[in-house]
Amino acid sequence: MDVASGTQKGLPQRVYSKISRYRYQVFVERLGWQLPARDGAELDQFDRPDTVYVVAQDDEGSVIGCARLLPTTRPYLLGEKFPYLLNGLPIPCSPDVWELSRFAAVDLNREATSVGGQFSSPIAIKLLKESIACAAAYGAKRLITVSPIGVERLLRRAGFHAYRAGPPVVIDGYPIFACWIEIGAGEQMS
Amino acid sequence: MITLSNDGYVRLTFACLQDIQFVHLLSGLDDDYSGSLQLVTEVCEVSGYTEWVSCSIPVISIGWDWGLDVSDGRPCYVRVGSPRSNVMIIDPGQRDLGPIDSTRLLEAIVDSIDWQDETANFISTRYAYTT
Repeated sequence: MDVASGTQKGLPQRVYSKISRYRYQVFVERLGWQLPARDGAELDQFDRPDTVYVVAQDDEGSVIGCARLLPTTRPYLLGEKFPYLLNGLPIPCSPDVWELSRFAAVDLNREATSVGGQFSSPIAIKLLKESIACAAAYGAKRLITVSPIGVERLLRRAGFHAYRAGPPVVIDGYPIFACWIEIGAGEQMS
Repeated sequence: MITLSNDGYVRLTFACLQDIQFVHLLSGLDDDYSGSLQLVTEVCEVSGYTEWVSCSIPVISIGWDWGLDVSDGRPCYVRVGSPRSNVMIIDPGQRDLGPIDSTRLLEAIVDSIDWQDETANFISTRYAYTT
């Protein structure tokens, strides 16, 4: 598995379009999320020139995982769409805090992989660690993510200091929550 | 006193936490077994999650995994692993106990809640087999 990261311009050629098609297959086709999509690609208003992507590819170059990182000093998914997941706290707006979103780690070429079971896979854990390291390289000290509740389980099993920002809320049939991830300093979870 | 801190943690002492009532929010099956429970007729692993919230403000959210233990002949919901929460327990001097020790104390709170029947009823209703 190869992992690359960067903005749209910084990624290897054609990887950005591969990411958008992968996201469509995972989030729209398999998970049934109501997301803006066109011509088999999923992109929204938070896919901007400054958005940072982390992408995992197999030996044939197929995308098997992706994540999106956004600074909270500009509009981001949680702040614009899901502020109520923060249990009454104001949305973060700081160069120390980045948002992790559109996280997926499903090898679509392997039929046995369930989209729901992706959160326990070795690919998911490695992609998560790479995403957190990438965010740290951009100056992040904390991440906030809006995710299905299975992500919290993955984060804790991987040993990260992660905790929910509030109760989950059912959105489009899925329990979704906001989760904090502390980077570097602080106690690791056993 | 219960406080919602800027880092997102709800901070309170263990004594305070013990006085708080929790209510069931939702429960579900792990995705591999999202089919009808009526079709689970053989011995196999059935697992899922359950989410509870406090009746207090700020809201305390606790979730944990469960498994179905059928070794006794009767299915019984048992907690699997540690609970997940937005709680940081503090000592009387207002110092954080830390995530690991807080989680250990949360286990005691979860194990004092009579959660199994409510979770089982919710699961049965949510995944009821329909023709």
